[in-house]
Amino acid sequence: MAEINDPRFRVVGPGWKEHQPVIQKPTLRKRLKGKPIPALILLLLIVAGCVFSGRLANHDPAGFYLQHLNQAPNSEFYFGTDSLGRDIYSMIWYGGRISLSIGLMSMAIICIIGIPYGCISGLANTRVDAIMMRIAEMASSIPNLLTVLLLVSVIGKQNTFTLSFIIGITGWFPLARIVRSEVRQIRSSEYVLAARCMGISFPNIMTRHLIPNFVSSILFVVISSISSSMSMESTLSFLGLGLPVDVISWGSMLSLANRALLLDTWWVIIIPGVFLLVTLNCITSLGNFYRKETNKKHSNL
Amino acid sequence: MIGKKAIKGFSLLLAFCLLFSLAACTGSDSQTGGSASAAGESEDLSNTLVYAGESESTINPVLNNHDELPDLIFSGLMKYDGSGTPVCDLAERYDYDDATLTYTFRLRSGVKWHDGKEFTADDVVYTYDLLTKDKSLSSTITSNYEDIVSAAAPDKSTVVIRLGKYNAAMLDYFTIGILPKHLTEGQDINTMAFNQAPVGTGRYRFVKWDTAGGRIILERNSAYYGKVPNIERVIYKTVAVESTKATMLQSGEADLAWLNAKYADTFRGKDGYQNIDFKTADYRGISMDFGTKFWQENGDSIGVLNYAIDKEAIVKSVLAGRGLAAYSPIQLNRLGGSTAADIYPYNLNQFAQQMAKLGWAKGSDGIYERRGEKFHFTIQVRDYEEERVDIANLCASQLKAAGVDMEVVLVTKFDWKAGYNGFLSGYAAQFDPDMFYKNYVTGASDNTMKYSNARVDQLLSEGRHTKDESKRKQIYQEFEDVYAQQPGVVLVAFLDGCYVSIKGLDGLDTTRLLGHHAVGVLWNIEEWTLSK
Repeated sequence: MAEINDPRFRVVGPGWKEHQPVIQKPTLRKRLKGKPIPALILLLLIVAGCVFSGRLANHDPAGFYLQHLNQAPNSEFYFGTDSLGRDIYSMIWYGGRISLSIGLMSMAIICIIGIPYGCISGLANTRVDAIMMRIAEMASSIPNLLTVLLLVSVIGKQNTFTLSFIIGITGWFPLARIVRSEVRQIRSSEYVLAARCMGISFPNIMTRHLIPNFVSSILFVVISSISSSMSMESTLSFLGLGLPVDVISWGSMLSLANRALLLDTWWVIIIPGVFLLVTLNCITSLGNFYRKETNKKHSNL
Repeated sequence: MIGKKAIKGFSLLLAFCLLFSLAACTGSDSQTGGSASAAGESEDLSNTLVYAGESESTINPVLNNHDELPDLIFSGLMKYDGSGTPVCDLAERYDYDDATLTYTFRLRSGVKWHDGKEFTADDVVYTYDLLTKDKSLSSTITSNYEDIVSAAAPDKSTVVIRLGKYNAAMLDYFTIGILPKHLTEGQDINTMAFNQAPVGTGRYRFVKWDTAGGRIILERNSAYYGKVPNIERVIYKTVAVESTKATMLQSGEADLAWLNAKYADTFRGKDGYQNIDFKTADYRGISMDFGTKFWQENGDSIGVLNYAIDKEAIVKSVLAGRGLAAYSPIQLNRLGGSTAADIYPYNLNQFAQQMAKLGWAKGSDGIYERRGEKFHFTIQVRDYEEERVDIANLCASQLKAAGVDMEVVLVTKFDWKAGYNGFLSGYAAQFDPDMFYKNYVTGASDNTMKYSNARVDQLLSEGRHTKDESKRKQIYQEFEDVYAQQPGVVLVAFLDGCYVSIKGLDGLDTTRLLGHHAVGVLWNIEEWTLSK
């Protein structure tokens, strides 16, 4: 019976056929399923439009076409003109540049402050951690708009950088909190302990060991900070506290809304509003997608 | 245990309810209180004119001479009639003795201050002493009274004012509202509480300043010595923002407002509204501050900027055609309008030539430079004055195209200490051209931009002290020519005064040429009728 025990053989029934699972290559459609494709395409289109605004614009965005005041969208001025004859179509693309770059720069500032702050707080001992987190919580309990307005009035004249700075410096608290809780979970992992024992410097630990492990879970916050920064810029410009008049952004275009309402020129309000809305929605749905992805991974654990 | 918890929760809930109901109480309290007081003040709104006017901080004829309210609450020895000629008001009659340069005013008898006290010659003397002798007074109009040597009251109803020199505009300046001596003497005129609760002798008396609601309530003075107004009450709403005024008219919150031309146009032909278009002597221009280093060094290059600004296009766009391209500050005055002063056509070639003559050369960035300095200057504009912001932006863009970098800085409040090189200004001489003496003569009381030109000083002084009307006309036209050569203001446009009211308001008289901010519309308010 020794032959039977030979591991190279096994007993099978009659009509046995080896089961070979067909590894199906997932179709393109399947791979794209659940991914925010329309949002991505729209966003790419808008970003591309803003990047190549020089090519797309058919008028000078800062020019006053005094012969063409308050014109509804037509073949020469695709999106119409405002009460001083400025071309909305050209302004949209140039304005988008500013709005998007404010979004991105603010996001960068939020990351630069929020991530190290969260990492330090997460790695530090309980007391330091508690103090750091209370500070962040207290600061974030003050309404955001209030602190922004305060800083705006202190700094006075705005440009793209100072405005991004103000928005960034008042918006990093939620990110720091999430980073800190992620770091808390992995701080006792062997690789972190090993790295710390070996005396590796904090920046190195952060970039080599911490960030790669929590990047997916903070992606949602990071991405949505772009959209929240953009809407903050619009709010400020709408209130007349943002960029100076000669800097075109979607927000400063919207600040003409009050006047347009009185003059019955709907295109002056609707068009920048739609662009802002679509962009913000696209960014949010991208962020949402990443949030779902990370949640899935967590549930697999 | 559960019972205890439930009780705890319940009490907490109760506490919350109490808190909210309290908040609601205070809310509704203030609401009902507000509406009750409003109802108390105006049981019948049908004869109350709600006027959306400029924002105000003080009501005092000595301090705010180009505002609407001092004219309603106060009255002067003289007043302007519809054609802008001074006629007797508090004075019953006056005599002028040319030999001694003396005005003798006989005052009306029985005139009472709004507080019931009798108005006497002492009040008049007090007011003119204040204007001519009080060194602590900071008012823009003191230069108008330079020629007064003395004011005296020989008896209760006679005032004798002696001049040092003949002054052609003196009767105009006797229109200034008289302040009550018994309420203001010994106080700091610039800051006294009286400025927010004025007592005058005018057609309307001050009732209340509702600072929270932004409204000033006036009631007609039934003891007025002239015609008592038909309209019982005036609610003056202090609104600065132009679009807000338009919205208030639309929503029925205001009955009358001065709007910029574009907003006024949206009401044309609209049911329930009427447009009342006045002419004004109100110009808009870019006033350069000679207190700043840039213009001290480059003051010779202001006039040339006129070549680069297409004023007609600005009038057509910003002012919707309701205005006039400006070349002289007194262009619309009866003594002004010298066409020889219109020396700056819109012409970029001429601009380039003149700039070359002045020694400017374009740098690599297309902006002119001279002696190593760029032609760059800043002007401040108040952000809520849309029409001024638009004019400034258009001028800036046109100047930029010509090679001059004019930076427009939006401010919420004029900041005279920040070192801006100028501001988008507006002034008007709707009556005598001498009204600009205080603006253009070196060191005069309203010459805040420190303009100085010896020939201008001389001409304006001559114009003031000359009696013969045709000679004065010559002098003022020469002033226009001289000023155009070396201006301190790049004049852009004269504005029409576009008022919009509800249909039921009648009696507005457009014969009067209005002043700065289209002020003066209420000049014949006693004749107005209102039916809502």
